[in-house]
Amino acid sequence: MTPVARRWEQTLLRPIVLTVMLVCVMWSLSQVIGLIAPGWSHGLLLSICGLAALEAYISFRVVRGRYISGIELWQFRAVEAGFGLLAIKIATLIARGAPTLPAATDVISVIAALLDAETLLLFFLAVVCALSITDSLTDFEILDDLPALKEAAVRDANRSPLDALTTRFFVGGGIMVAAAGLARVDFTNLLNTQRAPVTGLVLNVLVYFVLGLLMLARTRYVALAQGWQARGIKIAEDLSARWMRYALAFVTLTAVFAFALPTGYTSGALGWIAVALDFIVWALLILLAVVMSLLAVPLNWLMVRLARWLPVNPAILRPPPLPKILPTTATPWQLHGWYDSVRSWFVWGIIAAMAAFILLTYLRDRPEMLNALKHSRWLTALQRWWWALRQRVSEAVSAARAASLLTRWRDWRRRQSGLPHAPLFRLGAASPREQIRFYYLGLLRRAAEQGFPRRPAQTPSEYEPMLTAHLPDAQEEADELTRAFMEARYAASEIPPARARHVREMWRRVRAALQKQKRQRPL
Amino acid sequence: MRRYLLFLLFLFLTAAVLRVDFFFTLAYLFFGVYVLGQMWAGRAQRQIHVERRFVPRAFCGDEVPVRVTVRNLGRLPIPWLEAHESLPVELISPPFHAEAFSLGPRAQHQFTYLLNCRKRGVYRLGPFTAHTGDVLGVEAPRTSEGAPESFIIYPRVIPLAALRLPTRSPLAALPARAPLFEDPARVTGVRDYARGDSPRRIHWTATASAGRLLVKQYQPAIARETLIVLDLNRESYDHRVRYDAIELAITTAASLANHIIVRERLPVGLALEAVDGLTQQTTRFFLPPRPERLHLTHILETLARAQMTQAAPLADILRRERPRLAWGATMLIITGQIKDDVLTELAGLRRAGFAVALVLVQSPPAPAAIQARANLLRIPIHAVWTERELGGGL
Repeated sequence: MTPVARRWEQTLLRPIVLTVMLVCVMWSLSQVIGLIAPGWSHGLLLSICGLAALEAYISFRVVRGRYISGIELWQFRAVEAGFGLLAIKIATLIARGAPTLPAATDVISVIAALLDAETLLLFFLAVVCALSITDSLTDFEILDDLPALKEAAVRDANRSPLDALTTRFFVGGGIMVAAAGLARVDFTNLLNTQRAPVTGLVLNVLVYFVLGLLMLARTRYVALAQGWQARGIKIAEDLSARWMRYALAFVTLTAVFAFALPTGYTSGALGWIAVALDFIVWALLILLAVVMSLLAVPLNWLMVRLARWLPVNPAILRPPPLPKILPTTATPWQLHGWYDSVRSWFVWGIIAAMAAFILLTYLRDRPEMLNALKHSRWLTALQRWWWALRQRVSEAVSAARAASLLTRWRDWRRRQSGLPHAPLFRLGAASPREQIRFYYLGLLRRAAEQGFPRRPAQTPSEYEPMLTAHLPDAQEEADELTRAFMEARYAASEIPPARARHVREMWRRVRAALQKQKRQRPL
Repeated sequence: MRRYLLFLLFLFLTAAVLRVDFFFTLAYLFFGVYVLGQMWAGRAQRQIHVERRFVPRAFCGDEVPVRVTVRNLGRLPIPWLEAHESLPVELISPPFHAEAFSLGPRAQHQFTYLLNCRKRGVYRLGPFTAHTGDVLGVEAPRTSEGAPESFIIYPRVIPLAALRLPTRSPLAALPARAPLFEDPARVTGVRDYARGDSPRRIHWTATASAGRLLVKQYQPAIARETLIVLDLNRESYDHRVRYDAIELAITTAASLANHIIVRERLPVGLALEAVDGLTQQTTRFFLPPRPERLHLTHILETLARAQMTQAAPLADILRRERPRLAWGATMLIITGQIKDDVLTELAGLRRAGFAVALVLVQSPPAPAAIQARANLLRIPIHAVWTERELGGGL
């Protein structure tokens, strides 16, 4: 049985992609840490995380290659952690320079000076990176190995490696989005809902999600292909490559679509959230003030009692001057003009459509809930009202149309010409039987234009040899079209819509052959 | 899917609270992946068209290739398709054909498999099951099924060396294609229209008043037609050899019909009551005697579809079919057991002017008492137990 994932994919591509994604997450985290600790070195953190990912990959291979397990594994991990800590310390020393150490006799103080907060934080983040990489590689290994996949399915039916990888992708993405957002918004200004929106591309977030989606697509293929192999299903050779091509095209097109949509909104749309947040903050402040007042009452009483025993300093009793009210520096976001309003309502509409779609999908998966909703009294009454409204509106529109001058003029013209009223033929609204008849009659018309018309006495079967003789490129299609027409014209059996679609395809090929012939015909 | 929606909700809230425009774009991206993925999968499922090309009828021992063409009728590609063809195990050994592939816009994929026709019967090829979905696994795979198609294997036909059937016609051995046996000038009555009846026989006045197709029945001048009455009642065959005996009875009927039509060029009909392999319901089959080769095909097809039944006594069938035959016709009864009521009915047929012959598909010969009674009634009994015996002629 050939492995689904290729060797280079397992050993090179996956570790690289995982490392890049991890660095993207760490970049956002590093920016947040940089806000708290201004001297924070982003490059140092990213280098350490990258190296930790590399080390995790190598140690994963070593552990698997030498079958290390049990106590030995714990020892191995301890040594790894020790060396990792040492390496991080050396790296910080190189980056920051040697710190001033206390006297050598005070060992605890020396250790405390060496293991400062920066080193410990770097170590913690490096461990997180290493664990993420190891867990992801383990899940990939289970996916690649069919017996291991079966064993994992038996061991825990509710958790598959694919689920674990997907969850990790979303959790990592969530952390990164939150961190990237916080890094772009001033902490002190976090609860101010009237602040200006942050614009611009967040590159590391984009890279993470695009790579992650492609990785998910690949993982999905590997999981399905393993199942197919297990059931002895033949897999087409080009399926793997096509899958990735389609995934890339799909993600790219969706990204183009996403970038084309507007993102700005006014208080008319998502400003409701801002209002709600303002209210919550206001309520919290009031509550805090009430609690503080209640706490201050006994303290006040106590202070008043104590003050009688203390000498009075008149300078203290004077109230301090009130602080000056400075003009606000933050420019409140405001959108002017009809364009912004339209754009804002467009965003609002998209969000409403998304919510409706998700709700519909949810209900579609639960038909019993949908049925209960359909039969609810309120909804039935609403539906009845809606139909009555529609009927009245359509009646009014029809009456208006009939009374309009244009309709009268058309009627007059028709009466003058003496032609009967013929409603327009809409192919989309026609039945499959009518559609097939339409295609065949269309073929006859085109054939007549090309110089080989059907004689009135000829049956479709008699005409077919003539047709196929003139259309060497589409003989099968012409034959099929003729048969479909005879079925549609003379058989009483029901014709499914798929049959009409298939015949349409045949008709297109015949039409193309006719057009080609027309082009090639000498003048 | 739940994780996906939760993440989408988180993205929207983060974007709204932190007011980062790019996160809205991200949310659109994920929502687009979710919606467009579903739409793509749904559309792909609707655009799959499956077509099987094969000869729908075959004889035992034939190998029939089946070419399945899966077409994508849409403009969008189908990213993956797991195709599975369900087939009867009598025709092909498992595992059945299953393949995973991808289809470009308006592209097609073909695969072929061979059917080994080992046993007569009506079989269903399919349904063709197709699983498809999106590339990212946002939604569970969708399944669609194509309609199954019927495939008929005719019963084995053994060339008979000679056929010594009783007949009241002095010209029985001579070939005659012309319908000489009925006198159209003498209409004796009408009956329901049956497949194979000439449109000339339709009695239009009676049809109009009855509201259903009726054909004229003429008084026969000389009847040289044969009706094969096949007994497929399970109680008529010894339970130890029931299945083999019934198959042999069907082979016998097919061989006799073939011999009479192809070699002797005389009309032959078929009457039986059996479970129809197509509908799985007990059905009465009656094919009136006709001499054409196409009629032989109809007989073979009927025999291919027939399966044994539980409630169809032979005596009842004989009683029911007797009025449909012209005077002087030969009734050829194939059964596994002779009962008293059948003999009584056969005696009645003899008295009514029919020629009667009995083919007994049975391992031990018929009991002496029965044999003696049949001889008394001048009903010839032909015992058949192997195909070789059948090949030797009756």
